[in-house]
Amino acid sequence: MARELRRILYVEDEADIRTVAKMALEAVGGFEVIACASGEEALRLAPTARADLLLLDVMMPAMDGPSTLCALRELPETADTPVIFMTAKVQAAEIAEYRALGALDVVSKPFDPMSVSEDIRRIWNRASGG
Amino acid sequence: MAFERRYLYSSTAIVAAALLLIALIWSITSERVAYERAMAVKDARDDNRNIGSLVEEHTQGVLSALNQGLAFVRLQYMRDGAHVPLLQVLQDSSINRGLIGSIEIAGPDGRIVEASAPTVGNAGIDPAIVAALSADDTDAPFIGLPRQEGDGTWRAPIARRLTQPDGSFGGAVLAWFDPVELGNVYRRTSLGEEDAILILHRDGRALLRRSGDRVSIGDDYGDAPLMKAARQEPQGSLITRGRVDNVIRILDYTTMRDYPLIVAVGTAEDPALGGYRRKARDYYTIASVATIAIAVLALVLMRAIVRQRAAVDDLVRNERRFRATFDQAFVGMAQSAPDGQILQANQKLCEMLGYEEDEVRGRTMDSFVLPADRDIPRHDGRAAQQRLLRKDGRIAWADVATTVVRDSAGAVDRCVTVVHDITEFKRIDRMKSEFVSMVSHELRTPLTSIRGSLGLVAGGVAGALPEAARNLVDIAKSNCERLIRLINDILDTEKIESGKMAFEIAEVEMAPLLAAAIAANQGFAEQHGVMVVLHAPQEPVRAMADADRLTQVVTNLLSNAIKFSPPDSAVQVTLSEAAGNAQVEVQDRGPGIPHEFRDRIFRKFSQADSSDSRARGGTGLGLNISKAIVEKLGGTLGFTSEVGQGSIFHFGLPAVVPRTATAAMGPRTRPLVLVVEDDPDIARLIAMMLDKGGFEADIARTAAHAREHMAQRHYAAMTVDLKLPGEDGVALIRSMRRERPTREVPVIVVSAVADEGRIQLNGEAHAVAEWLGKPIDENRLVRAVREAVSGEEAQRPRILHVEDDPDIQRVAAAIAQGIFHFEFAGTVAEARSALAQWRFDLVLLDLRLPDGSGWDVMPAIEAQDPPPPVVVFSVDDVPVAARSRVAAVLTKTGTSNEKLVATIREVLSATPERAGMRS
Repeated sequence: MARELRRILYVEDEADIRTVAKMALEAVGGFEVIACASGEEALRLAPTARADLLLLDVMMPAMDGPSTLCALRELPETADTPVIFMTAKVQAAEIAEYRALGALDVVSKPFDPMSVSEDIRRIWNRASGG
Repeated sequence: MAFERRYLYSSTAIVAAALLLIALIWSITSERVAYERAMAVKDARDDNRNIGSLVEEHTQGVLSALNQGLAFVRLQYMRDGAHVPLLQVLQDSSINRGLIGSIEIAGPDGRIVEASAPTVGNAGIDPAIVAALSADDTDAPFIGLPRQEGDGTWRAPIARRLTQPDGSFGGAVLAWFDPVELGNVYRRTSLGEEDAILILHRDGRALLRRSGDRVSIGDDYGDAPLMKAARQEPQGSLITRGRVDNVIRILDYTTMRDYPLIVAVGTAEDPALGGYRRKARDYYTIASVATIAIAVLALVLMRAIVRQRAAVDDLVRNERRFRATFDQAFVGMAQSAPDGQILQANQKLCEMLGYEEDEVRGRTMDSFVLPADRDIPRHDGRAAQQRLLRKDGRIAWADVATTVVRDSAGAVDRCVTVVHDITEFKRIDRMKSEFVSMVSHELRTPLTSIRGSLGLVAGGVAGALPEAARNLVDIAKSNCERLIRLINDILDTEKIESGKMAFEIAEVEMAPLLAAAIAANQGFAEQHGVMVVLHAPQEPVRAMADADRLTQVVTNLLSNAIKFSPPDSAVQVTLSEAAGNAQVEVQDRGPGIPHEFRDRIFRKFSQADSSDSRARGGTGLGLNISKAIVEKLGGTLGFTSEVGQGSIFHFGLPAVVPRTATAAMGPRTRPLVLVVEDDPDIARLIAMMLDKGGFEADIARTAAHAREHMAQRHYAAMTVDLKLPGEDGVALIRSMRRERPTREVPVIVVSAVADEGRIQLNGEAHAVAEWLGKPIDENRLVRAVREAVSGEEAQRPRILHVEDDPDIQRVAAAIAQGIFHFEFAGTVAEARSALAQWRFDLVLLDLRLPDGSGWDVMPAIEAQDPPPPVVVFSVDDVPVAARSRVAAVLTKTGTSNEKLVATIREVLSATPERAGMRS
């Protein structure tokens, strides 16, 4: 996993948050962001996204974050892709749950758009063995 | 004692019973008295009758005698005619027996024919007698009315008929007698002075009445009750008052057969009834006493019963009140026996549990509690929240508290359990939690967009902004941040309060954590023109805590300090370890905390309310949360502040004493120094300096005290002030040098007159190691002591104590104080390392070590040149074969401190080349 982090598959049902986050990650972080409005859309776009990282909102109607992750894991392209969850719900029990699902870490909402990219990069580097 | 209506019944009963009893007594008494009276009367009457017979007999006798005399005279007259020798007859007592007073013979016309005594003229006898005798031809004697003579004496006639041969009336023979004769029987009877005998003529004239010695003759009793009775009944008895003397007498009378007389005997009632009266009095007395006794008893009984009933009523009333309180209480209550069995449960509790009281009684409170919650202690007023299993299977949440009720002897009498139904409360609480969580989440979602947008715009990502727009965006952004912080704080508060805040406790190194927090707030500090300085000790200070939450606390304190600091001032953050606590202090030079705010400072949404502070952008929850977090981590958070000077917020957390570091080093014996100084402040100062320098210090204020101290403990060195009260420092030093035990103790003089002392002790160069003046130079002092001590220490044997139990290490160190120098090794590895670094005079070896056996150290010991002797000090026994390798074996349990020291000394002195030597 010593790859460079360039492309992020981002799933978030709230349109405004999606807009802001995409802008923050692209303009400030320099990432390429494939934004999806639902788990379903993510499944459709995942095969061609070539994402280095999955960034998933947790609370979503129909398919929530963890369910989306499970489904993505079924796809060969995203079977091993590292994942970070983004959520307002950060109870200790829940964080443990996310970790158990294989998440690198959790980014909490509301996030600071100017520093979120750095945070993500930091998490990525740490996971890469830094 | 209220006298209630009810009591009236029992009182009435008692009164009635008493009255009945009294009535009974009196009726019995009356009956008895009446009986006694009757008996007395009967006795009197019996006596009367006896006496009456006697009197009658006597009267009969008298009259018979008279009669006989008359008969004799008549016979003579009939035979001899008129020449009857009457006088002769009179004088012949065999005939008249002295009773006849005179005799007269009268013809049919009544004229006296012959008389024993000369009569006056041609007197006749009483015509009544003539009439009576001429009419009656039965030859019955006639007794006439008594007549009083001129000389006062009385006489009464008794006459017999003279009958002609042809049967016609021929006259009468009369004998006069003194009725008094009839009464002569009186004294022969038992009659008393008040009694009386009465002999009455049938027509009522008294022939004789005698009472005592008083005699009256001729009274007319015609209309007396006696005569009235006698006319009706020949014999009888009556009680009558004497007309002569007014004495009430019991009269018994009888009518004589042969003579027309009534004989009556009367006994005076009073004397007769005297005995009876006494008895009656006694009876009445007894009856009265009994009555009074009964009355008193009844009264007492009444009172007692009323009182008892009242008491019982009170008891019942109280019981009822308690029962009502118990039953109607709004909380569930149960009374149980000491063994826990429920004796009574009130209505509310039964409702809560869904059982009938019968089903609850006999079970214990715990049997209703869910097994999982049974452990929670709830004794003596401490309430515990426990879940109860209802009959219908539902769970009820309850606040349960049990108190113990003791009797007067102090033994447990009952337990009272109070159960509050908090199911509803719990439900609402849960709803509240869920609501707060949900709302927080809901609030965060739009805030994410807002923050994001504002952040990007402010960050210039959407292009450059005109200044006005820039300002506005900054305002929006900072308030958005503030809102986010507020939501976070609210959620934190809620988590803490509902006990849902999870802490990940681990060993946290404080200094780096503080440094990180300070670094994170660097920008904020710069904005306010404030500098943050961290003071931390060299040695790492560790605490058991949740690093993130602790950071949150530190950040909160820092941000407060920064906010309230004036520009260009510094916030001091100090880390220290004291008394097993990691202490952190955050000091600012701000306005301080006003007096009226001190109590409220840790409360929610408290801000020393001034527009000034509100603008500083706090949420008002920070300190509340920080305090809660620190307390949950087992520490305390507090502050000191002075208005106008600033504030220091401090918290302490239990520190972690790193084991690994000490295990190798062990509790080294800090050399002991005696400070001889009379000024307490200076003494303390020197002690502090020595403490910092790594020495223990004892303080002695006078030379005498110094001697005492030295007699008890061994000192590595001494500081002596020359100016001491009483014996001065020079004298002390001199005397010390003379005594063997204290000859070698190094002395450092710390005195204002050091130079003078030096001159005094000149020549006694050995006496003092160093001369220091005042004011005291700490570095010089410590250095001098160090040199003195190390020189002294070099004398002491160095022992390696291989022992993993820190308690035993400490004990050994304490024993060794001043005698040996101990180094400790807690593992085989450490022991080997120590042996490689230093030389030892002896090894004290425990066999049970964490990473092996003490025997594993032996090769390292034996490799030394020369190898130090080994004393095994262990719980295990040493096999005989191994004993040859060691100098001595001591078991931990069987060895006293003195024995340990003695054994070590023995072993040391047995190896002559080591004793007292230091290589």
